Amino acid sequence: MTRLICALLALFFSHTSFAVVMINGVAFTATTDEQINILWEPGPFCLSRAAAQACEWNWELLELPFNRVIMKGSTGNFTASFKLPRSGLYGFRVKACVNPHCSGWAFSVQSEDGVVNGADQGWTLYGYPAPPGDIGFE
Amino acid sequence: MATKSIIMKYGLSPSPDVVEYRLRVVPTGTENVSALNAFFTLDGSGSADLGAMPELQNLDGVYDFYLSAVDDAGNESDFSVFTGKAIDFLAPEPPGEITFEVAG
Repeated sequence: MTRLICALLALFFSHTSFAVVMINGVAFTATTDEQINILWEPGPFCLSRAAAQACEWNWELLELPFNRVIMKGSTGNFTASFKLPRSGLYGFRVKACVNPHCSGWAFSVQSEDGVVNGADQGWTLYGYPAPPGDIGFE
Repeated sequence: MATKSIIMKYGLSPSPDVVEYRLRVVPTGTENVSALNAFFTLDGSGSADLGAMPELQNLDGVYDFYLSAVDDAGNESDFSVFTGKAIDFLAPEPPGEITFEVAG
């Protein structure tokens, strides 16, 4: 089975707050063997040429609804790629850090942070097992 | 009479938390297979001898095979499907009566 990874692309905007419950959001589905690529949009400061190299992005994959951190990483780019470690419902959050200061989190489940198809909308990731391979007979 | 052996082979799910596989065998053309609660549990060895499954030893016809992976939380994957497999475990009806004619 093939899925469109581009459907999992999402954008973040600046943010400070935090939410647990997603209302009117979108749950993207993916099997737990799929590579998921998430894209965010930097704020004006990190987008500026002078500051771009000083900005580091720290991201976390959270298992919902209790926001348990399942995976985390840091990058100088505006993207994160990973595979879901197991089935479940997840949210994604990212913050910008310019040593030693960090912004608040942008959290995908919040409608003011997540973007789906160009529109502000919260989103989550729902992971489930990948199907078996081909069947044959002897 | 021993049932013949038909070995079904399948690729394993690449998901790390899969603990078992579910096999549904239905007459070809059956719809809404995911709603069927009758399935065989496979251990994930990558093969299964259909002839060793007592519930399948009366199969005689053309069947579709639906195989899914299940993780340790009970989540079930989409199906891997093989359609149109002819299986005949049943011996044919015996011949008719035997009679003799004595010539002359």
